[in-house]
Amino acid sequence: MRPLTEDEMRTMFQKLSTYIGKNIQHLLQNKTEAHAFRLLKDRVYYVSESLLKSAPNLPADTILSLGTCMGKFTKSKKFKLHITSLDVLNRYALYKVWVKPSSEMSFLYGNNIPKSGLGRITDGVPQYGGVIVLSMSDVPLGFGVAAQSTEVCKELEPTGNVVLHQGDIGEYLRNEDDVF
Amino acid sequence: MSLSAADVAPAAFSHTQSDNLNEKLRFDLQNLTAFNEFEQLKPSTSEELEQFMLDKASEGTQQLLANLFSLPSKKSDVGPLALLPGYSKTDLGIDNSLTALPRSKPPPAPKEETRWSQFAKEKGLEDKKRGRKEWDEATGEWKVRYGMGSANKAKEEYPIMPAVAGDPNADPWEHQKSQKRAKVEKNNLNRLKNQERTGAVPKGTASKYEKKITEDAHSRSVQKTREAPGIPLDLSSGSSSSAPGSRGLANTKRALEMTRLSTASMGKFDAVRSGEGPQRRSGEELKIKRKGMTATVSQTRSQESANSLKVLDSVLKGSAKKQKMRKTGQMATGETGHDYDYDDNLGGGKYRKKKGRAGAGKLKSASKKMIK
Repeated sequence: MRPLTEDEMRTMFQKLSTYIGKNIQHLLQNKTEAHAFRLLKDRVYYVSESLLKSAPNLPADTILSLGTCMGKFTKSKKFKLHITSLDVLNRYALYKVWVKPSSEMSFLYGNNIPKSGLGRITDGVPQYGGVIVLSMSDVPLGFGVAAQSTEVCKELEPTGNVVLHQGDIGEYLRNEDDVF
Repeated sequence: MSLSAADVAPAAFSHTQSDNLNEKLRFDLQNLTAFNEFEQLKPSTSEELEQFMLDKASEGTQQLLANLFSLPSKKSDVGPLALLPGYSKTDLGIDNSLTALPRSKPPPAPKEETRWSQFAKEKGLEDKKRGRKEWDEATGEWKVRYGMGSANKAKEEYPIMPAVAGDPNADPWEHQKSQKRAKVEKNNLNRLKNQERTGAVPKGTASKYEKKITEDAHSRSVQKTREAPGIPLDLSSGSSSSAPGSRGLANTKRALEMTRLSTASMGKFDAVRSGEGPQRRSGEELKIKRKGMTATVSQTRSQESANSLKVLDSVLKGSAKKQKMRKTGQMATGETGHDYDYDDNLGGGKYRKKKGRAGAGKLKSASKKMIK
């Protein structure tokens, strides 16, 4: 377990900033308790200070995971967000999309969201901006990338994709072995 | 409506309640842990043991979940959230609610005494702090006690050196230098011996150092007895201690060190043979750069968060060069998130100071004549 290097931090912040923009600084300067990012076997964890202090009590090679897993670095050193980070992303999200109950299940099986499934969308979403997907009762279901900006979405045909799937809470069941 | 564990999975829950009422576990709810402290009969075969452990684990998990559902809860947009018990400090400052984790490593051993501190304890000597500065009588000033510009140094540097007793032809300057070197080496040797006793350095370091001192002294004397520069050592008559015509161990080692560095790449790409040891230039210490990777100390933590904020700033605003280009309008802005700003090579408008009267700005004292 170690802190991130500057390059790693840069790639992670670039990915995170598409979802939560400037709010990353609220993660770094957490008001309730100091938190830090730690790398463990290519995965990045968001760890509170109290947990960080108790971690050295355990032999390093026995630690499997700690804190909240934000995502992992792929073999080509790109950063991939994991569904476990949804809670953090949702708290600070800039852009949100609400899905109609009829296409909720389709998204939870890993499909993109077409215009016909779109319930509501935040104003001013740029094309390829990161969005959080919520059900109509405000339960976060996952996250994705806006295929079109909000303005273009308004005049889109019903089959056109609005959100390209990146992660959803169905992964807890589908990819149970990989998530943790 | 509040949801309880029994409502979600009635079958599994009723089973637990009826079967395991007598095995009440101890819970540490903040760490989401349950401890079964009852004596268990160990099954004989490994398959039975596996099944037994699975059963016990599932019982424990069920009891733990039942306890979690009995906690006070809070409504949230993702359903009810249980409020885990917080840290509770007793008057003694001991935390009762949490299970203490054992250290993975033994506590550090107490420091061993040096020979001097042992002696001082026997004699009952008190440790008196000596000030860093000392009164210099010659100049009438306070000066540092040791090192460059230290006090009362003048008395060591006589303008005329007394002859060395016993040998009228010996160089008194050389004699003074060698005496000082001997003092330093003795101190180093004592320091290493103390460290060896405490276990800070491996056993045998001091004796190795002692051997090195004598070897160095020998090679210095060999160098001095060399007849003339440029004559290969092998042909010289040799000193009294080593066989005539031989180089000596220390000089052979030194020659090897030099040849290893005497390639075009300063020995960078040469294969290291077994027993040669790591390459280094003369006087260069082996430095291991250690990064504070598992730092938890608050000072390093605040440094870490400052660093990450700096990185975040450069990610959000772009590099200093990019910011400057954006200011001068050399960046084009696009419509999608990806082509937000890029160098369009059209160049930006640059601020130029106006010529003429208006360009003088706030130069109030200048007369009209000057401005013209």
